[in-house]
This record gives sequence, C-alpha cells and structure tokens, in this order.
Amino acid sequence: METSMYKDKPARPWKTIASLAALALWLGGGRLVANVSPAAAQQGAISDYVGSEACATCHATSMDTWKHTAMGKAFLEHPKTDTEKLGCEACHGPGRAHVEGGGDINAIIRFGKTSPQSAEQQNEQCLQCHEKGNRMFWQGSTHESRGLACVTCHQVMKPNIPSTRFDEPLTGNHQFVKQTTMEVCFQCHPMRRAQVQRSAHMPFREGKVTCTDCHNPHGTPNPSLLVKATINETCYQCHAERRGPFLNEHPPVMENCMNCHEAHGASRPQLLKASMPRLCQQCHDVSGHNATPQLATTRFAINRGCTNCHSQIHGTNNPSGEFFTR
Amino acid sequence: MSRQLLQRFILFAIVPVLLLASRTAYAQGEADLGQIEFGVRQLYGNRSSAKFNEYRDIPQGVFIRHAEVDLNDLFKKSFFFSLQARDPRENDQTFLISLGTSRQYRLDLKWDQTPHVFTTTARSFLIENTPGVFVAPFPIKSILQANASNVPVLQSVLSSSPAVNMSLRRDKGSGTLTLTPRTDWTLKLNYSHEKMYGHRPFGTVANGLTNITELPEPIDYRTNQVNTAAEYAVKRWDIQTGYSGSFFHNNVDTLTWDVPFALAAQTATSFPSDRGRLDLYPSNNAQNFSLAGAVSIPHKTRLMASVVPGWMHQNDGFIPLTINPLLTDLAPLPATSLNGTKQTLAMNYTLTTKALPKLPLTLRYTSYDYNNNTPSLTFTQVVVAENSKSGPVTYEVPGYNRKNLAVNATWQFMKSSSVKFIYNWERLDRHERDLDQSTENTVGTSLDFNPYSWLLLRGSYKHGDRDPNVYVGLATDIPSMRKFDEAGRIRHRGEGLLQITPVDPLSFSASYGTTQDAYREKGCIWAGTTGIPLDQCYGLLKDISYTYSFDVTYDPNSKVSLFAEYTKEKYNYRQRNRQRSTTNDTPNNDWETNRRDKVDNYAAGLTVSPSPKAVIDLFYSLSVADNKLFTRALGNPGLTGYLVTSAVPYPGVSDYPDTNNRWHQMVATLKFPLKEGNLTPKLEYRYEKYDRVDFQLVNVGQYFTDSALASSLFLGVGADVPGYIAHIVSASLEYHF
Repeated sequence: METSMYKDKPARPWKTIASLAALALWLGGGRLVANVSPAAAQQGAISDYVGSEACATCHATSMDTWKHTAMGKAFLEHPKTDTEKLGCEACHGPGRAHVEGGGDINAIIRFGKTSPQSAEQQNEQCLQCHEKGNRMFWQGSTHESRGLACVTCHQVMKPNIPSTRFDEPLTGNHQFVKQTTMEVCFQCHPMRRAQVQRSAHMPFREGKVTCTDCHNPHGTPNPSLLVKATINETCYQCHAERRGPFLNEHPPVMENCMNCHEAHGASRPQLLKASMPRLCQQCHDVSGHNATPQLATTRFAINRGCTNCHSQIHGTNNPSGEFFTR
Repeated sequence: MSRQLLQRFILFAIVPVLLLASRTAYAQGEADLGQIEFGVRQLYGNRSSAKFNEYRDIPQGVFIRHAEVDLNDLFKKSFFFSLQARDPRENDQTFLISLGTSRQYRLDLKWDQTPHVFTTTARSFLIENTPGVFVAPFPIKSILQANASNVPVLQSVLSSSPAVNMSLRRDKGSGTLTLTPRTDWTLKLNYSHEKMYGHRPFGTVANGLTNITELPEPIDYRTNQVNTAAEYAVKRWDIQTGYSGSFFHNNVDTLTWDVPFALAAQTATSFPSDRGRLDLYPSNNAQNFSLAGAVSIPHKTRLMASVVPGWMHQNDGFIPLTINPLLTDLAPLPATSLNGTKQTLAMNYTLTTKALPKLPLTLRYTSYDYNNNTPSLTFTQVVVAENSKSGPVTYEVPGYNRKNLAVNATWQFMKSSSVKFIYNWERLDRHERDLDQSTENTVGTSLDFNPYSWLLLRGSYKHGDRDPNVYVGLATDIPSMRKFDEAGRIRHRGEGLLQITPVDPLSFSASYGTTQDAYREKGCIWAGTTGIPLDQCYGLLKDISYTYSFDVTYDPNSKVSLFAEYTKEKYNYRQRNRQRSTTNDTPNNDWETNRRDKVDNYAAGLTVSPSPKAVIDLFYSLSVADNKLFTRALGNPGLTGYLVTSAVPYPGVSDYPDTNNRWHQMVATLKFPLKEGNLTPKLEYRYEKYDRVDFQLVNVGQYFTDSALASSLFLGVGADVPGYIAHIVSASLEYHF
C-alpha cells in the first residue's frame, strides 16, 4: 500500500495555535494602557458635548428617521456603553463647536463623499464599536486599502427599502446605501451584475443566495475575501456531497471548482465555462477519444457531453470507478 | 403537527394576535409595526420551460409576497421580536423569526425552501421501484430490442413514456443564538438541518461504454451543520475561537438500472450485463476548529492571525466490483471501505502598519495544507462497465500545499487618493499530480484617485508569472500531460473604474477589465519545420477576457429617477490537441479550437411620481449571450498518416453550431399610496422571455444517436430547457401598520 508523503509531515496546528497565542500576549500585554485610539483622541472634554436633543433641534427629520433604525434604538433608548450614551455625537464627535458656530459643518465629523474627513477617519468612528466579529480583518484588507469608507456601502440614518430588481435573502437589516447586498457590491463590480443575469446562475436573482454567502467584504484571512479558506471549501457549504474524500479523486476538481465552473453566472448549463467536450479537452488530450475533435453530433458533444458516461466526474467511491463512470 | 399546519398556524393565528397585542399594548410611537403585501396574480403565456420556475415558484391566484412584524419594547424594555415571511405557502417560501434583548441575546430561526427545476420535458420508461433502483418493463424492453434500428418505432414507444419530475428542493431550517453577556464577550451557536430531495438528470453507461442510459438520479441528502464561536474583544484586542462541523448523509447509496438494450454476444473477455450499478456520493463529514486574533500595537500597527485546522472523513462501505453475475472469480477487495481522511490547515498572519501615515504597509503570509491521508488502495481487478475485468488499478491520493507571501505598500499622495504597490509570491507543492512544484510571482499596482467629491478613478494592473518547477512522471517527457491549471502561465490583469457626478442629480460610471492568461509558455518546445507545426504545447493555451460597462443615473427631482446600464463581456480561448493512434503520433495530426463567447447586457429603469398619489416604476433588462466554437486541423492532409479528418470512427474537424440565449425582463409597477403611505394598492405587470439555441439539447429526446456510430442507440430522458414567454399580472395591497 502506498503511503502519502504527507503522512511523514503531519500538520501540527496546536503548536501553531499555542505559538500564536503566546506571540499575541507578548505583543499586546504590556501596551494596552499606553495606547489611545485615534477615535478616542478626537473625543473632547465632557463640556464639548451638547447631547442628541440639541441635534434634534435643527435635524429633526434626520432624528425622526434614525431613531427607528436598529442603531438609533440602541443609542437613544438602550445605550450600553459610554460611547453609545453620546447618541449622535458618538459618531459625529462633540457638537458644541458646531452648535456655537451656527451649524459650522467643518466643526463636526461628517460622512460620505463630501466629508472633509478621509475614509480612514470616517471609518475610525465606526470601528470604535465594530472592529470585531467579521470586521476583525478589516485593516489591511482589499477594501480598506483601496480607501473604501463604511458609508460607501452602509447608511445608518435610514432603513432599507425593498428592491424590485433583485430579491434578498431574509436577514437582519444591514442598512445599505442600496436596496440589496448585491446592488451595493455592483456599484464597483458591475460585471458581476451582468453575470447574475446569465442563463445559468445560482439563485442570486431569486434572493436565495447573495454575495456575502461566499465573500466577506470586511476582510478575511482568505483569498478573494472568501468566507472559507479556499474556493472549494466555500462551495462545499452548499455542495457537501462533492467534498469527499473519494477513492478516486479528480485532482483539478479537488483543487479548484472554478477550473471548470464560473460561480457568478455562465452562458452554459451547470455554470460550465465551456461546452463539452472542449471543456474536458482543455486537459485531456493524450490519446483515444478524448484527443479527437469529435463532431457536434456525437455522444461526446450532445446532451450531457462527456458526462453522458463519465457522470461521476467530481469523484467516486466505487472500486470500479477508474474512469468516473461508476 | 404537520409542517403545513404549522405554517398556517403561524400565518393565520400568531401574526394577527401579535399585531393586535402590539397595537394595543405596546405602541411604538410613529414606527411601523410591520407590513404585509398580499394580492392576486394571473399568469399568461407559454411558461412550461424549466427556466421559468428554475429557482422559484410563481403560482396563480392569491399570494402573500412579504409579511413582516417588527415589535420592540415587548414585555420589557429592549426586548424585540420580528417575523418576516416571503412567499409563504409557496414552494420557495422563507420565514425568519428574530427575537431577543438588544445586545444581550438574539435568537434567529429561519426556514427556507429553494426549488431547483432542471427540466420539465423529461420522460422515462424506467420505473424506480425502490429509491435508486430502476427497472425496465419487459414489454417495452422487448420492443426496443426488436426495433433497435427502427427509429419511428423507437420514437413512438419512448415518447409515450411517463413524465419524470426532474427537480430538487432544499428545505433548510436553522437557528442561531447569539449571546452578549458583556460588551466584550460574544458567544454564538448555530445549528442547521438541510434536506435536499428530488431527482436530476444523470448519465449512465454499461457494456463497453456504448450503452448510454440517462436516468433520474435520486437525491435524498441530509446535511447537519453545527457552528459555535466565542469572541472576546476589548479596545485593542480581539480573540475569536470556533468549531464547525458538517455532517452529510446520502440516503441513497447506489444507483441500479436495467440495461434496456439488446446485449452483444458473450465472448471470451466480454460478458455483457443486463443491469448496471454505480455508487452515488458517499456520506461524509468535515470539521474544523478556528482560532483568530488581532491586536493593535503601537505606531498604528495591527497584527492579525488565524489558524484553522480541519478534517474531512468518509468511510462508506465499498460496493462490489460489479452487479454482473457472469463475471466470477473476481479478486477480493483490499478493504471493505476507504476510511478516507484529509487534514487541512489554513493559516494567515497579517501585519499592517500606518506608522508612516502616508505610507501604509501590509505584510501577509498565508498557507493552506491539503494533506490527503487517505490510504492509496490497489485493486487487482476492476469492472469499469459491468462487462469485463481489467486491472490492477491503484488509486492515488492527491494533495497539495499552498504558501503565499504578499507585500502591499500604499502611498497616499493626497486625501482619498493613493497608489498601491503589490507583490505576491506563491508556491504550490502538489502530490500525485503531473507537477510537484510551481512558483508564481505577481507584481501589480493600483491607483485610487478621488481628488473631488464628483470624481473617482480606480485602476489596477497585475502581472503574474507562474513557473512550473518540477514536472514528474509522464509529464516530464510528454508536454501534453501538463494541465493548464498547473502549467506555466503568464497573466496580465487590468481593471479600471471611473465614477463621475458632474452635478448632483447626474452620475456616470464606466468600467473596463481584462484578464489575459497564456499557458504553457514555459516548459514547451516551440519549434517547427516547413509545413508541419512542431510545437508541443497542448490543451488550453490562451484564456483572454475583456469586459466593459457603462452606467448612468439621473434624478432631476424628487419625482423622476432614471438609470441605464450596458455591459459587454468577451471571452476568447484557444486550445490545441493532437489526434493520435499508437502507431501514429505526430504533430501533423494536431488540431486547434478557438472559442469566442460574447455577452451583452442592457438595462434601464424609470421611476416617476406624476402626483403624490401615484408612483410608476418601469424596468427593462436584456441579456444576450452568443458563443462560437471554431475548430481546424493544423497538419497537412497530403502527408502519410494524416488522421484528423479521415479517421474512423472519430472524424470531425468542424466548427460546432453557435449556441446563444437571450433573457428579457420587463417590470411595470403602478402604486397608489393612500392614507399617508400606510396603504398602497399596487398593480404590476412582468414580462419575461427566454430563448436559446443549443445544439447539445435541441435534438435530444428520449433517444439519440451518434453520427459516428450509426447503429448505436442511446436512451435519454429528453432533458430540454426550451424558451418561454410569460406575462405575470398582479394586483396587490401593501399595508404598513
């Protein structure tokens, strides 16, 4: 019996975990007191705050909308932290200079395209509370380093409105600037919007799957902001049957589903990148029937193409499955 | 209580009670307590295609599109309860109940049904007596065998076969409990159970790989998923740990079917079988633990790390080598089951610093081990098509290890504008493939230029060079063994995005993208002599895509809003192959295929409020895909041994017919908000049209033939997905309470 070369080099995750924990303790342990967060540094003395009631004097419409949002309810009705108790000023900073300046817009932190603050400065206000959970890897992530602000995708002053174009999986309200998660992402990824309109697609349009089922836009330790370590592990969330291990593995399938499939939408059935037999002939060109051109009227091309026979192409546990036909 | 009863109970009992209670006892000021949209729908047109209801259910008659109850301050302060339902009592219904106390605990309970209709044209005379066992009725089998070359008779018999439901449904129930006992602690527990059941078209073959019989593959899966997570996060610290377990069970282990064809005569080595059997996906499980942490250290520096060890396991029993009783004296199996195990380990260490405020720097190291510890088994004999023995066969256990080291340096040359420089090194070590090791170096840059609030320009370019370091086995000497996913590759990838808002109501954006992959430029022999191409690079050689998009939105006032979008995608591929025989393996038999795929997308929408009591929404989109596939021989037919166009039985250097499809969608909605918007009658008309041309499906019915094997007959189920036209008219009432 042949032995895997990896058996000689078993992974030792626990050793790594222990090392990581020790390193983190060493790096952080003695420095907690010495650091002052940028956001905290911006907070002024208590006397600089005027309270949310003062804000409502001039911004009654905004207050009326915001107080019905999840964040508004939390801050105004059930504050749990000192930051939350600041209400509007938790995010916009101390308001006294703004009030005394007759509504001086430069004396307060503003959000959005016209803000004098940079995206990083705007984001620091949000990260006071939100730099945890699935935002742990935000710093240094693709979206952070390309200068995206939290408010590029989210708005906290208004609730969502439903979309007539795409359905959205039922979730808690993420208070997006657009009507659905997909439409938020499509602002900068318009090609994805085109791909989900294709004839072969996952149920994006129908509101059963959305971008964040596979990607975490706030940053992940994984490639392409995937929620799982690899493309395949991401696909296995819904396609666990293809996970194996199998007696006969098809190596390119095992390595990367997207060698053959285009997950965002395709013009061919099963989200295939190309029609069979050409798809298979991208690799299989050595001998026999897989190296010959094959007419479009042969069993190699019509109906299920190569999988008319090789239907177990994702892997099989059958001892007679040498050619993925069993 | 049955599920249907439970649903009715939720809809017709709980909701009204909650509404009443909340309205009278727990008034929430001016906020909506919820909303419901219900109405009546009528359908017209030819909508029998599977595409119409592919992932959805749109029945005629009374419907509830969406219902929501959102109660706050119920029972005690900060307790909330919400119930959302979409398309209740339909095949694609979803329910979500959320309750809890703000930032103390939250419980989400979700029920979701997702249908997937593959085809509505399937027919089969094979009867599924028990799950996974298909029997051909003897009278039909006799007719087929007696008329194997009489197409009209076959057509008549097979077309009267009973219809088969080729659809699946996923029913998934899940619950997530989130506890926040303190602001710095978060605990999460999630459990889900998914049932997936139905049938999908599936190809089978028996007896010399020619007796193709397409069948409905029975699907009866159960997947249980458990996720737990704990997080401790303070000002500068964050530690997360978790466990995830996924347990997949297939209730139908094997597929067994009667071979309806007349069997060929028995020979010394071939024993045709009247039954076939194959193994369906084995039950399996996968588990992993995760530990992730982040700490902010001085000089605006943050260290983040995650370690995720995982295990995959499968130990379903092996089925016998064949169902054919004529094949005797088969060698015993080396094991009764695989006991397959894979161990994965994903690690990431990221250090990002803004010590120099204008020059953020990120260093990242990631690795992913995919260690296949499954035993490599050797079977002395196998029976790949039920009729003859072959072997021995050794099943290899492929695995791989990927390491990446990335450096990103950004120069913020002005507010909201920066240039980023990227370097990524990747090493991939593989086991039991054609390449033991490859290295890829990628350099790139990106520009984010946002000098004014009305102008944003983003651009990026990456150049990657993958070097196949160590080929092994046959691939050392035979370039055609070198697969594109592991071969040398030069990659150019560029993207650009321009967003302009010249005046507040008008915005415009355009994007461009290209990915250009050239494979096998390293490690191939590129040479030639007069008249004969001698390059030895085969398989996929070029994969090039271009994409363009243009969007414009215009909101001149609060009463009018409109947008238009156009997107174009172009994909070009080139692959080269060689038709060989054992005695004739020369470059003169090379042939080449070029694929040209093009997709155009158009969309436009208009929202108009001619009066405060009327809103008109119009939306139209069209997606047009057109795929061409050209094939040509590269050799000289005048030379001896030329196979490509003359050889029997596999002739065929010819272009494939074009395939294309179009999908139109138009939606026109008229709303009449009444009573300060709480009550909105709505009229909606939806038009959908799908059409396609696909040579692979268009002539396939319950039987099909192979032009290269005229005497052969293949049984299909006729799994076509034709075009459709649908008109959906609905009148509904949306009530906010």
